[in-house]
Amino acid sequence: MTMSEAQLVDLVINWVRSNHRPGNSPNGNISPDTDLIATGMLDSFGFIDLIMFIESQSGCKIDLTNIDPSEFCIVKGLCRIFMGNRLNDLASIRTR
Amino acid sequence: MTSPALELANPIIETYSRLAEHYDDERNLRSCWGQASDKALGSIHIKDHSRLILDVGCGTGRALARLVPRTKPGVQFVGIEPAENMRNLAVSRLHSLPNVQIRNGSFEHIPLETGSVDYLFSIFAFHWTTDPQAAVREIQRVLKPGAEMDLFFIGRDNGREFIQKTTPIFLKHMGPALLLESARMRKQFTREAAHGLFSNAFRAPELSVEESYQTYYDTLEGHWGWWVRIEGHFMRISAAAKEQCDQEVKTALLGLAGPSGIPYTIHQMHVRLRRS
Repeated sequence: MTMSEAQLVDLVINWVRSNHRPGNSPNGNISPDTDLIATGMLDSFGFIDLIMFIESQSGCKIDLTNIDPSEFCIVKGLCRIFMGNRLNDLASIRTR
Repeated sequence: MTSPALELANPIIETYSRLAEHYDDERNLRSCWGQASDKALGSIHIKDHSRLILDVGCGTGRALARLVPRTKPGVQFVGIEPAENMRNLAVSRLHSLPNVQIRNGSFEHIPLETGSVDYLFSIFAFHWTTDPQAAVREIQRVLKPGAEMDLFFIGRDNGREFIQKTTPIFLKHMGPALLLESARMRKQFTREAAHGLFSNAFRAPELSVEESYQTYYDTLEGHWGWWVRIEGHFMRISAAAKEQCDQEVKTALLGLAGPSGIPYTIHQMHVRLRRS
């Protein structure tokens, strides 16, 4: 499946709305700039589930080594990381 | 910077073994986890017909030391524990009881014959299993038909106050990859997921899964007394970063303090198997 960064952001937001832990979200507002850790919407277990969801939707693995933590926990930052990973994957396939 | 811990096969077992001598410190025993463990142990009743009783993840043998003297002679007890130094302490504690054996093992590898166990219990160990499906198959294998079981372990929302406060700090010091790897070391199920897991091997009405939430209030020092239980998560943080990380965590936890103290909510799963 090919998706744009904007589509991925929507996908992530909808997933978080459905899967954030009860009582862990001070309010239900979530935008591309939301910090999912600082707001308590997701904990580390929630991130594991979210990344599995993104990977299952896209068929691509996310490499989290050497990732800036502050970018990782923002919705659009996480999506940007994923899109960058995917472009790298595609580039490596083309050069084989 | 990473430590030689990278080469460890299982950081949790390694850490429990390394810190075994601190596990029975008063401040850990008096902590919320000590209290919750005592409560779980207090709910265990050995039936008269039981011949072989198994404690999985027996640690330093405290539960067995309390159960064995109040059981009639002739009942055999086996405690299994993967952390070598914890096991050694259990052997020392229980050496005068001839009907108790302590063996190396885990939920995934129980060193007992198929269909040999009348009653299996475990107090706050199952969440450390590395392969839950294999663990349930192994439990099913060693239990006699009609055997009974009580497993107590933590649920998905365990320690939510602490997790919300400390995750940003651990993320900063560990980075995303290590943080998620650390989280994967514990298996924290919802009640529905735990029921689904055990339903692969057992059926209602014999099988039931109950969950409970209890909030304990303590001082920072009181809570730090049980930190020995989770040190395995942080083995890959360098010593210098760990010191800084600990300090930031303590400051964050102090921010939770209210009139009753610092809250910590234990989300407990109780998987029970009873004869129909």
